[in-house]
Amino acid sequence: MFEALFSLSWVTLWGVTLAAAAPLALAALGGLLSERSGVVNLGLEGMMLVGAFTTAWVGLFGPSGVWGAMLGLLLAGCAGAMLAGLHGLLCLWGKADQIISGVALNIFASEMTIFLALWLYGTKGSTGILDDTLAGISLGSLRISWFFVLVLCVWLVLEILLWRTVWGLRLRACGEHPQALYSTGISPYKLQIVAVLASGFLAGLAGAALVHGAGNFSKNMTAGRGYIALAALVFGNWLPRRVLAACLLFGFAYALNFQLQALPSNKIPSEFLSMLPYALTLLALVGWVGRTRPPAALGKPLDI
Amino acid sequence: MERSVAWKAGWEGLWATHHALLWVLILGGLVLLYMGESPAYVYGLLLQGSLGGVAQISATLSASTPYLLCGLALAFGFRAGLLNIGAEGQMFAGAILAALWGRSLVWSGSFVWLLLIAALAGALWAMIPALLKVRFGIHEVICTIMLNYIIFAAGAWLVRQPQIRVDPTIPRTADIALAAQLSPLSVGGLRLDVGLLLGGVLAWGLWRFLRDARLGYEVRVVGLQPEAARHSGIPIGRRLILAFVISGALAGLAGGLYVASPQHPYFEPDFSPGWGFWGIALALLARNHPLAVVPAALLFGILETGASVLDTTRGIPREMIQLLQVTLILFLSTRFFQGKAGGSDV
Repeated sequence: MFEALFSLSWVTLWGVTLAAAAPLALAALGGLLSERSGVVNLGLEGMMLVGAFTTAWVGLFGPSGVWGAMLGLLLAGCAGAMLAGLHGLLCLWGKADQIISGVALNIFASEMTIFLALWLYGTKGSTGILDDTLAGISLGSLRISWFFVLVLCVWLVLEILLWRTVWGLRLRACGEHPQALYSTGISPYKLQIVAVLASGFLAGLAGAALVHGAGNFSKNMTAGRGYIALAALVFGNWLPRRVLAACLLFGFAYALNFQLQALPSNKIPSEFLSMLPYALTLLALVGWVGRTRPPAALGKPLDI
Repeated sequence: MERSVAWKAGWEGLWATHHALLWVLILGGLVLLYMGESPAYVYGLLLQGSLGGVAQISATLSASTPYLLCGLALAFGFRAGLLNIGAEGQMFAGAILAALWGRSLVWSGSFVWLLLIAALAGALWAMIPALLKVRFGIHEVICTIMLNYIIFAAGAWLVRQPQIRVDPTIPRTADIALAAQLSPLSVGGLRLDVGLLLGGVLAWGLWRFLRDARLGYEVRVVGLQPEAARHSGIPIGRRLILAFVISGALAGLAGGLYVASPQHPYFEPDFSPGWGFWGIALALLARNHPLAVVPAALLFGILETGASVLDTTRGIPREMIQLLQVTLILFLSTRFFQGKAGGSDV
């Protein structure tokens, strides 16, 4: 049953792992920003979805070439940030339960993209294939996705921003003890809304990465990746390095699934292969219990 | 809480809910105007399509059944402080097991077994996140979402198996035995789903359980004040598992009732429009009060039946109505629509 494993091309597999890890890592690093400021962002899934939809829309109707793709990325980020702004509005101003708001926004994004796809393309399923997709750099037979390069940049920026700047210190303080921060004359709300908007922007980019990987948009194409990104956050103990490593692990599960399904000698049913990332996420959460500590004030509404 | 205070809180909650509903209808009206439709006409058509006659009312009642059970599942979970977003997966577990076992349930009255099996399947599938939460402290949302995708894939695999499917081109299981099917009752031309009646009885039972039973009280304390529960010696873990299992059983029952219906006595992977997820909306609408889930489910039944009429007659996609439903959740989750007393506790 498993002999197919030995006929895999491992170099290709690593390349696919990087490509599959990129959307997870972008969303997870976004989630890290938001959760370090104390706001749970369960809406990552929905923000990825609107980002993916926007990228496909720009790719199909916008300018072609690299600049068109860049515009697609920018607008995808903005679409994600808009949904994140709604999350911030509901949670920070409306004092909604952050978990309920996030889950509801995911349903909202799912219905919204189906509705808009029906309106724009006349179909609820999937859009046409984009002409220009960003592929990657080839190093021999290893292909490194451009989005993974982007992930590395975002990761570096976050490491510096969160641990080497005053703003980063404040942001982390906001997630641990917002009252203390408030007593020094800084508004936790401002920090939180900026963090939530940034997390939405990154999640939107994650959606763009998905579309550039798949070539088109299809309904609910995120398929739980936003939640897996959150699991990577827990698994990575809210530290960028470890979160990135966790995303690579989950990306490997996706890559194994894709590559094995494509093999003609594979005998494992594709449905079972598609369970891999979800099962691995559950296992990772169980195996890593008790070794992580979330920000102390995570998910608690402020009464300042 | 004193009875009169509870009533007052209930009324305020109802007033706030009705307010949110009004805002959503206004918002939907603006979107309809933008689409070049007359809101009054469209809303009228929606009501006519769902309540305009005996046949329409029958369809609405039947559409309300899965909403009712999933709403109860979510509302009960919320009372213990659990967000059981896995209700969708637990419903799949119930439907899958009911469809597999239902083929061999040939003696009369065996629909009872079918429903029990479905509820058991949902409960068992809910045991996994319950144990993971209690034993390892894993948040139930991430965990149940993963389990949802796993069971969706299992269902998709199942209907491909030659010994189970009915026809290679149709991805669904063979029909269950006739004796295991539940025909709707007929009351003067009105088709009345047995499932809906069962859901109503369960709503009443859950309400009394939460209000009067000691276990129900303990479940409520765990949801409202875990710290107080700990100090008063309530076994929090066991109560959480109980709440999760009851929630899962209700969701599984929703799946079983779907399969038991003579209109579709089989399991197919895309049988649900996300009833388990809409359960969140119902629980919010009902402020987690089991009895209030009944009118909330009827409202969703009206919206669904009406939306499909709008879809077929006016070409207004049903996602439009679903968007309004989810906007309602977003509104209701904020402090502006909570009601002054913060909703009723009993």
